[in-house]
Amino acid sequence: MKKQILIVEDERIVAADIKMSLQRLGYSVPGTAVSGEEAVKKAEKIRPDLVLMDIVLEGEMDGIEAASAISSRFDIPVVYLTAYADKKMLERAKVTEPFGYILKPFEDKELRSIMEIALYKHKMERKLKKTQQELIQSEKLAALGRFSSGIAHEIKNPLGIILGGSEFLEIKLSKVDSDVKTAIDKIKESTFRANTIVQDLLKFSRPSELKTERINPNDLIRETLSLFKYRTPLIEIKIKTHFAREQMYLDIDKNQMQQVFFNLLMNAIEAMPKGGAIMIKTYKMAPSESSLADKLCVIEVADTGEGISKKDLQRIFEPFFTTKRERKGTGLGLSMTKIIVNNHKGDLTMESKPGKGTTAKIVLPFH
Amino acid sequence: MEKKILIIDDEEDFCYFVKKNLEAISNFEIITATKGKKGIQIARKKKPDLILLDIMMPGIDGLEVLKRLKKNENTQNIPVIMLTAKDEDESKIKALGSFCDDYIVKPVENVVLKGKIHKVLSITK
Repeated sequence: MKKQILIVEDERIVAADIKMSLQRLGYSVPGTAVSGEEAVKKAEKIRPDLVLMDIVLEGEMDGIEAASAISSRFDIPVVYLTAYADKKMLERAKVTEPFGYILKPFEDKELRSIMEIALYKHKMERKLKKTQQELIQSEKLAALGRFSSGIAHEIKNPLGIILGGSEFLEIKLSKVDSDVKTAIDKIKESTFRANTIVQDLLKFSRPSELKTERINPNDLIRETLSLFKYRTPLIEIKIKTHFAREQMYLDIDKNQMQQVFFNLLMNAIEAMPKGGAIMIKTYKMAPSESSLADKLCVIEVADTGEGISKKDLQRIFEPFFTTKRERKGTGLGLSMTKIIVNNHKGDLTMESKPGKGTTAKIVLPFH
Repeated sequence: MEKKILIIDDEEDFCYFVKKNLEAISNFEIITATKGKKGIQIARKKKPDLILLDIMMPGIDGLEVLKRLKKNENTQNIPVIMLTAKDEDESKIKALGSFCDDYIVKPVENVVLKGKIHKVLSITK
């Protein structure tokens, strides 16, 4: 696919000339802008792969201000275009961390090399950022694991005493007063909840060994769905499946992967308190998505629920991050789900549109 | 005849509530010890019908207490249910095989505790 370039240049003749140059070089130019404000608006709408930005622009916002807004808000690389460059202007431009400068007038080959270097550099920076985030995440999980293993015993013992004490009071007092019985039930319920959190934490500290067997994911999904048969919320929720016709067998730990499907389905159900639909799909990855596509199986669980905001989506796999605190979520379910999928040499990603729904996508190698 | 249960656990409050609760919901006679060494002495002297034994205790831990109980001819036939606050102890307990009769992960509800005690007593009587 051709890379899309947005040109920001207040001289229309120059803009048209650059557009022709770029098209000759094999790029696509979906738009041009003549002011900083227009550039920001068009960048948001078009989401080009790169912005070629004239520094000196008429209007309130010059090229440097526009570039700063575009790169920070939309993560789009900017290459500056200028006819002259005084030291002060270059200093200002440098702060916005541009991906290159090109001095007017220029030749096609200069333009091409600067564009290609900028696009490559940006791709690598994105990759680096992703790896760094994953590294931080795994470091955090490792630290959490060590911590939780240490404190689990210290927490579970007092929980044992709280539960014992509550049940003692239940025996002694509940016949006297129903309010007391309710209070005791709430203490017990919270004790079990705290215990569940500790147990979930422990799963981080001891990622259990995989006991893999060769399984058709469609069969495992059907089996997991049968667990939901008698759950009341499903009355308002329709579950549809679209399974791959190809025979794809995965080497997976049945129990752990069932936990993954269960967690994703539960999340989907909880995202639709007023009802909706869940679509589960399995398919072989399209060749355009990866060079290894013919060996990768994709499993999607999509809901038509509330959706997740972009800000929340960035933190969705962080331990203890939850969007359903009022529904008593511990914030460990999705982090654990991702760990399980990663342990199977796969990946789990989430896409969401607020108000429209969320799709969880698992990619796993198959045989 | 009332069955005698010995609880060996360093958590004094845990022993207190288990004793109170089991006495309230069953006919067991409950004896408690908060140290491993003391527990062994009581087991030899009182010969309980069953022992609830915590694994992690300061001094002589539960596993060492179990070893000593099983070595002594006066106590070797007393069934033992191990108590643990750590899920990861489960593999250790399983490795004990016939040395222990069951195990319970804390926190535990009365009904579960009572059920396990009855089960072990009915098998080993």
